[in-house]
Amino acid sequence: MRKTIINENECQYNAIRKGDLKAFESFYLKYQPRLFVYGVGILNNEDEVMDLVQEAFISFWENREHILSDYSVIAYLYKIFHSKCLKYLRMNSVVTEFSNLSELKVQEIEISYYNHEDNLLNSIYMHDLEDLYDKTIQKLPEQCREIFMLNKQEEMRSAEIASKLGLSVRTVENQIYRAIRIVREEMKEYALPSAMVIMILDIIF
Amino acid sequence: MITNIDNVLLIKYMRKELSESESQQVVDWLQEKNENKHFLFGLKEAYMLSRWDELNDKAETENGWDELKKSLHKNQPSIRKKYIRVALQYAAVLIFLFATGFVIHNLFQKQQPQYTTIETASGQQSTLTLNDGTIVRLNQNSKLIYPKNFNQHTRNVTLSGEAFFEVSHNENKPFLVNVGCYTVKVLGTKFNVNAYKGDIYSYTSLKEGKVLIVDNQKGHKVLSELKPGTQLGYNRKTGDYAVKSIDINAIANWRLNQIVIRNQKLGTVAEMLSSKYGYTIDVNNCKIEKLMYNITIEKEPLDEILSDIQCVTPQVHYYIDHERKWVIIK
Repeated sequence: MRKTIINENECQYNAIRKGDLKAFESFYLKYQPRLFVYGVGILNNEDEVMDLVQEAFISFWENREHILSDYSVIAYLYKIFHSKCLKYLRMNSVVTEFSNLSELKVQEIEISYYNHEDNLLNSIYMHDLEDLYDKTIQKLPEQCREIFMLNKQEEMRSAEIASKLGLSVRTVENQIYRAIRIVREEMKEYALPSAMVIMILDIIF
Repeated sequence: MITNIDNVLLIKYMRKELSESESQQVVDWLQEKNENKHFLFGLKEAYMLSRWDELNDKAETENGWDELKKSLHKNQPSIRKKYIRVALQYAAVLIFLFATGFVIHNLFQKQQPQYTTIETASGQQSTLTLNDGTIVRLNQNSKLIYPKNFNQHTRNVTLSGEAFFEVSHNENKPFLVNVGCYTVKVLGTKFNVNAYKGDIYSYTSLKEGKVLIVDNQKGHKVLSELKPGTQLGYNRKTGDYAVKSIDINAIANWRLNQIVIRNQKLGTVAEMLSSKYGYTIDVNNCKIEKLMYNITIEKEPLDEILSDIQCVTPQVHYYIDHERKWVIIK
């Protein structure tokens, strides 16, 4: 099963490399929303993320001959996106006269975290989120599901949510680790060989 | 095991509600341990996963593809090119305006003499070369008026604000800078004039060569002859003036967008930082007030300057509150 998935992917990447627009379309349809969710997680501005995602796909397409095989392809897409985000963040901080430097630092830490291939490959952003979403929500322990509900509690202040969760960090920590483990377990099905480092990136950026 | 942190911060982080100082706390915490990163970003992934349905809709993938395809088809590989096209449109309008201006300018040229005015807004600087080869660097909020062609005998310009002049040498044609109450007369030198309209004092500082300060009111009397490394301060209200030695590099360093602090006490340094960054800075320890510093600031953030100060003089401790724009040094 896994083998066929990989083979399909390889065919797709080969086709993209040769300039097949149809193959690029299905690649886009699959990864555009993931890149968007990922970007929204890091940056504040959804419109801006939308543009950066488009730009990343465009650079990806322009540099398609450099695509190597297999899953490094997606890492490559994310790396392009990373460099676009960093450029945007730094420009933006100049425009706002460095008024939010610490926020920028958090964002840069997060980007460099995912720039590390292992972290990226183990993250949810590489996988079929639709499946994950359904499966994990069923399996999560009670308190973890609360985390899932965070965004549904718009009117509630953060402190109230924290106190509603009513737990010390240590307790939450254990719960979260369990949750992450469950999420990761679910992803195992899609687990992939660790990717090659793409040297070409250094040449392009 | 992760290190301890307030839950509220983590939740605020995921909901992007952190204030500037809270962000800093999270940064510090993240940098403590790799486990902290795995924990927080894992948590965030769970959170983002929970928003999948909502964000998947917002991603408008189909639309995105249509637009992408269009831009690929038009052989316009990059969105950036769109911006360039917009920029070109603006440029075309500008060129048209310039051209129109030029025609109008020529129509009126017969009326002599022709003056050009250059004005800079706040935060803006401008460098221009006059047709005799003189280079003028205008600081912010300044205005320079100069003739299109200098007359045969003198080179007259009028300045309000601050400018650094590098006057090309011409013994037969003195260069005159009129600042309202007095005129700076030179043959060929480098000097800085600071004469803002609202300020009571105006200053002329000489870097190289020789300048004469000539009074505009009392029969064009020569007030003073400046030597390199000296400065004339002129009180516009009383007409009093005085000459003193200065560090010309410190005076004219605005040209490099720098602030140069030479041998100043901590108290003075705090005042200068306060006016540059707009923070209230309190020095709460008389023991350290007399420490002396040499600092050159370009674009460093305040945090960096403060931590550098702490680095060279470890007895100095500081606390910074970005939210209230407040610093305590002790």
